[in-house]
Amino acid sequence: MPTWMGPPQSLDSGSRLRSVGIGLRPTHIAEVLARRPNIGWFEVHAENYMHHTAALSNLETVREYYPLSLHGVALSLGGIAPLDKNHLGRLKTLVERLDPFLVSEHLAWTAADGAHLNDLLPLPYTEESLDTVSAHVLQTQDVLGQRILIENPARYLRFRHATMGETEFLAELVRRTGCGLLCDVSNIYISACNIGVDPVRYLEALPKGTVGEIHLAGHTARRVGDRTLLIDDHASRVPPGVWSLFADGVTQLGAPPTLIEWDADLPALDVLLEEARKAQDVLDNVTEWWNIEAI
Amino acid sequence: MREFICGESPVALAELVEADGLDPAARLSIYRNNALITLESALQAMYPVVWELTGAPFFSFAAGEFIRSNLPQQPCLSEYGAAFPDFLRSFPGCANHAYLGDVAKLEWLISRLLRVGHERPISLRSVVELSGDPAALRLKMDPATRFLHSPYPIDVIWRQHQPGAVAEMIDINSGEVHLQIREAGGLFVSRLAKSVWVFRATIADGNSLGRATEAAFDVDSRFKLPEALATLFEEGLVVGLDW
Repeated sequence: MPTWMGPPQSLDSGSRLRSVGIGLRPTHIAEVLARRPNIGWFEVHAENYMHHTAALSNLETVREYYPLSLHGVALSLGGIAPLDKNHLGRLKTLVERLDPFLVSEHLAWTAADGAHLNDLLPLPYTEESLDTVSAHVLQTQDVLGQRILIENPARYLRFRHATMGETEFLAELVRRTGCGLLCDVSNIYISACNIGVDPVRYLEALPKGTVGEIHLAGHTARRVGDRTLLIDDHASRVPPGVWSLFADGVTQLGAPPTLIEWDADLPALDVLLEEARKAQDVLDNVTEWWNIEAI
Repeated sequence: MREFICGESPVALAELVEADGLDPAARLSIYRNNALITLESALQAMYPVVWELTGAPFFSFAAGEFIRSNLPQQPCLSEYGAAFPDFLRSFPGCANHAYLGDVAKLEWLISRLLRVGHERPISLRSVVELSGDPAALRLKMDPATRFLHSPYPIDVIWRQHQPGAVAEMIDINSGEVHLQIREAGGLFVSRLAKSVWVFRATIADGNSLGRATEAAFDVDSRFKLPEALATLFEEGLVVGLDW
């Protein structure tokens, strides 16, 4: 059995904010190194450090003080084209240099016909797609020598020729590959609004014990025709509806490490830390509830 | 989907999409908008001075035109936009602002410097101690160095758009500039005399010392080789030798 066929790694205890991390953008790295804020871990986009020697050097300094999660956005696991071996090789190099406690990618495709669109594009949930994504996840895990987490997408449409739902697709992907899931609660909330996913049933349907990380982020409402769609833009605070879904669902997800994502219109670091404290409060309440149950 | 992102007919794709109370084409357009915003943001991050010079609406228009004919060919956005300077040089909307392409080129070269590691410089003595023909010698330039020339004072323009810069009048016709751009514990954009610039840029292109010397003399018969060679090493620009 490959070494990655096991439960997700756990974080060290010792910090009140041990369970919550924030997305770290290059803008904040110097401040993080100067202040060493009380936060459990940081997540970075792998692609930002694949060609950038100086930035990677700074990130390695951050790694001396904090656990890191490596989040890929351009592997195109859902694409019909073979994985870009050079890109996968660069990801492996980063994994070896940074020793991340989590590595994650998306249930999406980003490349076709030699062009890289750099957007998380949707795939139809069919047997054919499942075969493709499963093969790509297995290949990635073999190259990296570790389990990866796959993130559910924010959705703006459903394909007519889909033969299964997203949770069914993800559950089968987990069964076939041994990967874990990155449950983006914000994306579930967005998909609920945009295509009518039932968020409570969605959370219930995720295979138990497989969620290794949660993402929380802001979104924007946009009027399209006579409908309002939610756009996943990671450019604002986590809205109340997402906090509520997180609080309701976190117990059945196993209270895994939780990330505050914020990628555009980046605020002051303290704003991200405030959001992280809110997430930690929710996780602490769950833990207290568990402790009471144990008594 | 690629064709759709670039603005071609969505009919075939739209037929694959459930309406769910909305025109399928409108649902697909969300992905198109997101992709275009992502790529435009990448260009804005790569070319912040050009963005400030042109203003957001024009930059957005030019970036949109560029993106449709230049989709990224590799996965990392940090590598996207190499052709944007040339695009601006030939973009009709920039015809009255010919310096924009060169400012963009300067920004692109600066972004490249952050991608390379430093190498230890070698001393002039290592050349003096060699016994071969010095004219055939190839000097390896510090990889964190680039050379660029322009008919416009693009270094002054670029500097005015850095944090804390003091505004001053710029004479856009003040003459050509020959720039050395270097990352050495900080970013240094320096003007060189034309002959020195040609000497260094020719070496950086992988040519022999003899060829670089000839090229420098071609532009200025008063070029002083001993002085040019000494300063090259004093500034720590040479990191290796090859015949």
